[in-house]
Amino acid sequence: MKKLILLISLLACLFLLPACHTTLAPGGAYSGTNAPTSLDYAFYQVDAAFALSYDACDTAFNFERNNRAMLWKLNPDIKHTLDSIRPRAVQAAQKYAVARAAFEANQNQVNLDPLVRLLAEFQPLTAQAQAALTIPKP
Amino acid sequence: MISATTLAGLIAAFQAIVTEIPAAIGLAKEFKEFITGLFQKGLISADTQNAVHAHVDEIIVAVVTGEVPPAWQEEPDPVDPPKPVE
Repeated sequence: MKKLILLISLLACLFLLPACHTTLAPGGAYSGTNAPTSLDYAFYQVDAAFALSYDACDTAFNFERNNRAMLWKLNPDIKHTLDSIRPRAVQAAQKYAVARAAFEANQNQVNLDPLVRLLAEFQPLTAQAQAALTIPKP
Repeated sequence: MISATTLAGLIAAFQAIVTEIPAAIGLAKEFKEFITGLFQKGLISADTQNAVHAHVDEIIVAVVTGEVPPAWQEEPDPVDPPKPVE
């Protein structure tokens, strides 16, 4: 549990770290037209963090599925825990997709806030999925 | 002395780890790029931005079309093999 809290805190800190004078090069997918704004950079950060979190979650799910027989023998709670996370992760990703479409349609701070909130909903699921793989043998 | 069951378990665990190495490397690379992006002074190139955007688009399209990857679906529990009669 302590490890989980530490991981969540680390992910939150990473996201909340100020951009160390980093800017987006013009012409990229996030840099808008000619003058990239802080909103563009924030959107890039949220999207990159979401992609990373999604992929980490995907890796955990795939690892369990590909090695189910072995992990089931080790501890059935591994699958059961991941099964409780799976539908929530799908739902969280769907909500992120809707919020992202809304932001892309109208890029402003009001539409960016739900993305940040939904990312914060998704990241703990990833941490839980990763932690589930380390449930010890009973 | 290691029993046959333990040895089989160790081999299975080793095979599992070896199989997942490419995925783990990809994830580690993505994590490194993300961390580097946080600390690096300067510009995030258009190529990097495009790669991230394309990747998230790919995820979003799959999510929006209701395409749930098999590993993300709940599946029935494996059936334990019957214990050998002694």
